[in-house]
Amino acid sequence: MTGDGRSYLCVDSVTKLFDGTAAVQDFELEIAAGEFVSLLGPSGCGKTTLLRIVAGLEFPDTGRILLDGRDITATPAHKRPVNMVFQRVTLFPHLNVFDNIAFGLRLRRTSAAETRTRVGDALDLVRLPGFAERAVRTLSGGQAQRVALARAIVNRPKVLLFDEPLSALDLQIRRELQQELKDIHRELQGTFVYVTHDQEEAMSMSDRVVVMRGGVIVQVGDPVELYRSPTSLFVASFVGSPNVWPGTVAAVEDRRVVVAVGDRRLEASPPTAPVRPGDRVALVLRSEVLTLSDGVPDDAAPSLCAVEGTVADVRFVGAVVSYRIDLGDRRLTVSRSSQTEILAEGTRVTVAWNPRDALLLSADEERTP
Amino acid sequence: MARRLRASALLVYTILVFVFLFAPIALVVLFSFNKTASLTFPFHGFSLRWYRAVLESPSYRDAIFASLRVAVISVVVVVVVGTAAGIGVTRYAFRGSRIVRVFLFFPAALPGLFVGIALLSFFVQTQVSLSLWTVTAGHLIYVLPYFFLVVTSRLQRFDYMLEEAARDLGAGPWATFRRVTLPLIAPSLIAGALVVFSLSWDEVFITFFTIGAQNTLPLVIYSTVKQSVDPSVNAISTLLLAGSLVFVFSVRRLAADLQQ
Repeated sequence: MTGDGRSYLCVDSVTKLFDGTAAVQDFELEIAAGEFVSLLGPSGCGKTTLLRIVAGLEFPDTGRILLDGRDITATPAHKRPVNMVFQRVTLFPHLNVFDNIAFGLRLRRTSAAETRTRVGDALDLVRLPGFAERAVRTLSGGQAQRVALARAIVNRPKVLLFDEPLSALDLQIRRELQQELKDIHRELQGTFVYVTHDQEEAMSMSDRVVVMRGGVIVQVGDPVELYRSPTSLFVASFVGSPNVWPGTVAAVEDRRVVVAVGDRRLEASPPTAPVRPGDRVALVLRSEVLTLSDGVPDDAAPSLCAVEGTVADVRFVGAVVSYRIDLGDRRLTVSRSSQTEILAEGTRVTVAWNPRDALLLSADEERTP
Repeated sequence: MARRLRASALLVYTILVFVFLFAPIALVVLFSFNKTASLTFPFHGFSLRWYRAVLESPSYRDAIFASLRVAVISVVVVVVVGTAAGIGVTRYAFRGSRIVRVFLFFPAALPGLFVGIALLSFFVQTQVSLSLWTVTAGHLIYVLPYFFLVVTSRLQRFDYMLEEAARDLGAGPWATFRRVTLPLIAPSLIAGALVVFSLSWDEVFITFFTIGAQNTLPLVIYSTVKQSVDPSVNAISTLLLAGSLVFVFSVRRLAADLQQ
């Protein structure tokens, strides 16, 4: 999995204990120069701890941190060429915007002229030209985080760290800043490590997403890979598949697996790990691989990749329409383009899918995180 | 009718309370400007002779310098020790930090008389000769809790994430303190220092028991009043009052700044 260019920042079997409990355990991660990597997971999964270890604000109990070929495990935060944008606003309230951004440069005794140029460039980059003389308390939440970003970027760190910097902002400003962060990443070609619990944020911005749980990596991959082929139920539900049905393997054939879900027998593509009849599994049907057709054929034989139901709820979300289909014993969420005909509530429909798109995941691993 | 009566009764009562509170003060200030040596009415006209007498008297001058010396040294020591203690207690959850906190506040609950007697017997037993240094030591015990209280109440609201941000930006421990922590807590340090100064400046009990050959200003005033009726006491008291007012005003201004 690790290519040759992937060792600009290397987290080498890092373990960090808090009161005897491992916040991060035997963590291995290699990040290439210029990569945008997100650490994604629920709160308490160790993602922030890992970020703080890279920043030098925490020190690992075992393991090493290597940056650009140098072992920086024991280097304190103020001597690491790494800067962080924090979750909360941490601008210095006694300094104005200019002095906040110039903070790191002045500690490095940068000349006044160069400081002025670099602070100006950083303000332009975060789209806040003309804000230099503003007092920190006059800034909005979004502006404050932009200044925090400028304050980090201006030092030209080797790695830029983000600890859920947008989580306190309104949805609209968050979306706006996500786009800008992505643009800034492209412009600077810097190495970004971004911590978030918001899967959409991680998926939309990063080159690679590291899904974490209980201090260990569950899966690493690019967003498309994670979304299309999650290797565990945890990842599948975390990256946003609403339809997860627990069942049992009924039959294993050459190119397909038949799963018993309640009274139904449904077909799925074989998972990477071999399964045997009787294994407990989960069938994952992503909402956009399902097709809806109006009406129910009277004479059709029971299909292994279609179910019948009634439209229970219609939610129009602009580009897509999200339907909740009541199947009697369970429900399905189906989304389709709003260009198609909008079905009314109460319509009898058939939901079908290509067995290739029906994922089968082991349900057992759920018990061993 | 009855309501108006009640209202005017309340007005008279209020005026009486204020007269009771402020008349003695007003009299002292008034008679400090009196032309003659009498301490009672009639007032004979304005003059600054008692102020001149105070400033020309060597015993007053020495006492002012002695009081200043004690107060300034107390302030300097307490600001350093109290700030360090405040940061230690509020930031680090070490074993026994609560006990340390209680002991730092404790002397404020002791009567000054008790502290004075305790210190005197301590100095006698350890054969430390009494001087302005023993007075300063006594004042330190007495004023530290007040400073500690002012500073910890600010430090408890201090966002230590700001220090992490500073470290992340390349500031070592000292640079972090000097560039981030100190500027942000400075107003409360100054407020605490002003409180300490004014407490030490007119402290009597502890000073009385721990003083050596030299006298501080409050003790000189006390002995002057005991010996004779000297109107210069009015002048020096008015000076003290003016000084205190300036302090109180500065602290209030600082408190207003802090709340912003």
